[in-house]
Amino acid sequence: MESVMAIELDSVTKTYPSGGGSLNSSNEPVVALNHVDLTIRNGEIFGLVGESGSGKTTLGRLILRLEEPDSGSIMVDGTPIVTLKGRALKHFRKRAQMIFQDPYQSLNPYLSVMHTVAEPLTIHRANASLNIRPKVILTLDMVGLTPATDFLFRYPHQLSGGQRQRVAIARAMVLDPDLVIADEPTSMLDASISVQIFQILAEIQQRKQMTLLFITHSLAAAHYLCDRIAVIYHGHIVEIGPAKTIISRPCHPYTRALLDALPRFGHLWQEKRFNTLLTNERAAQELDGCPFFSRCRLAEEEKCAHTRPGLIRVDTDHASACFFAESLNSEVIS
Amino acid sequence: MALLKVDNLSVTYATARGPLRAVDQVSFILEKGQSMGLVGESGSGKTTIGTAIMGLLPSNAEITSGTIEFHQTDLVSSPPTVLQNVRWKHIAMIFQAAMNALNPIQRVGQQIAEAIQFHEPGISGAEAKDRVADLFSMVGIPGHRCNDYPHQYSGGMRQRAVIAMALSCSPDVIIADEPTTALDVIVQDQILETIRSLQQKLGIGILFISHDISVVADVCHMIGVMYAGELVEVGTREEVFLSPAHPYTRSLLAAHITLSATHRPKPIPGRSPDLVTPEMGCRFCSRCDCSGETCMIEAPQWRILSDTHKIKCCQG
Repeated sequence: MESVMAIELDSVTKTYPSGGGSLNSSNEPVVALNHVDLTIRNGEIFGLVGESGSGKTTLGRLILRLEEPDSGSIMVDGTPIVTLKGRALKHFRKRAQMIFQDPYQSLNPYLSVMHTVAEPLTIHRANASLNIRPKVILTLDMVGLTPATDFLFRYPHQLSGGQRQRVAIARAMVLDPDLVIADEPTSMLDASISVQIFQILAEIQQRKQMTLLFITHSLAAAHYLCDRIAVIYHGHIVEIGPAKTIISRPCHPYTRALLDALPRFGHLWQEKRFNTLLTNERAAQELDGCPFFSRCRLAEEEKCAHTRPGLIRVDTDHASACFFAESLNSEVIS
Repeated sequence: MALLKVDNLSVTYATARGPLRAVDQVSFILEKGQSMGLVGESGSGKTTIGTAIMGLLPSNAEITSGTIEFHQTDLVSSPPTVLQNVRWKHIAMIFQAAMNALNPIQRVGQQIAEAIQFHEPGISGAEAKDRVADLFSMVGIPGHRCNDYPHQYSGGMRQRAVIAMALSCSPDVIIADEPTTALDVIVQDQILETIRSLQQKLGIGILFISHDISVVADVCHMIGVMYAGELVEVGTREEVFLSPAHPYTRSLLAAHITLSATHRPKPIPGRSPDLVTPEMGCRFCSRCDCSGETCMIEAPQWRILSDTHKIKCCQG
């Protein structure tokens, strides 16, 4: 009997051919993910934090098998997902759902809320005896679109941004999935609406005991919502650990740069704490060096330029891919 | 000295359901060499104020009251030729979507040179080119990239190019409408730093529009909080952030997600009122946790808290 999903990525690499149009002279493929090892545990809220282009969305798409990796394996509950076929694959699709970034684009403007949320049920003929309408109403209630009957026959253009994203969440949740990937679900929304969306996600996750992968560019949001966080940079996981630890004891210069870059609000107008970012970036680096080398203030030429650091454990559940991880961890952080 | 004085400004959009009052009797002063932030949720009217100042309102919008005074000239009642003269040369705007603000089929340097020559016809091509080089170094784009096309730039560089373009005619005022919203945190931080230092160095006045209260706190001297078309609190950033007095400002701060272990963000209940049929009393009333009976009937008046700090609220 399956309950929640655990995901294991082993040395997953994914490259995309570069545009290669007439304006683009280089034909080097773009490496979106570079030998990524990652375990997402049963029933946790896992945060994947990175800039645009870091590979975080690709990672989500690979886990859902919307795309296939070039090499490496992705196991879900011990089964490699590349081997899934036919009914097993359809069953997997039912169990793993996605919430997209932009609720203005992810909803079909021609479908009513009822139609949008009911569609997954019809596709998967979930439990023939199940009455679709009550299930839709129940799910709308769960995402806070109440009274649900007021919303059933509305169309996306009649909804606010926050309401649309709730519909998108309802659509993902209506099949009671075991895994949900939320890809920047609030980047189009106002701060106060974002908090509502996070609270809904956290509440449903708690109630349904599902695994939730939350993809975001904001460390603050990940810290708010997640149990564990992985920081991804140029296709490499550079730091992973419990959310609280990542914020209080960041052990990778890039994580520190992300923290520094947050608007200094709450600790108003203090100087940057870590200053790990070079003002003048170094010239292009060798491919096998540390991915952060060209921007890192701590980097040492002979170490960091030529060898890529693997993840080094600094604590039981905390690892950083930096040669200086140990010393960063032992630093006293004010 | 007041550089830009917005007084009693109201803007109404004609919509299918009737007139929508997006900006309602807004007054503020942007002092010379200062930056003022306008913060509020989407739909609060902050962008409409920016476009009204630029004279770039869409055709279904109308300024129904008020003045926008710039160097003792009222821009609202001025003929289009005067506005055209002021626009870009004296008041420039940094738009939100940098990609859409640049022409995709023209080299970035050329676009900026063209803007300079259009507004200052006396300038030769070579002079304009020199000016572009200066501008690029000022906003931190390597000089050799001026012959690139916009698609060859990263998002942050495009935003820098748009800032360079806004600075190209040495304006007195820059209106920055969500200039960092689409950017990553590190890039955002660098762009904000650039804006901050240019503002200080050149002494320009900046009107900074954002929905992100933390970004505004990072850049601006003065802050105006907008709600449902009205300004509800104005103060220095210290006043607004350390002792927020309007319940809406307090809710906005409470809803912000921070890294603090003690701060649990709290969403604001309810939703913004419909501006086609606004209720009589205070517009925040239905979402406010300290509203009294008067709030539902009486429109709140300004209450002065200090020389610089005031709120529009009935409650003590």
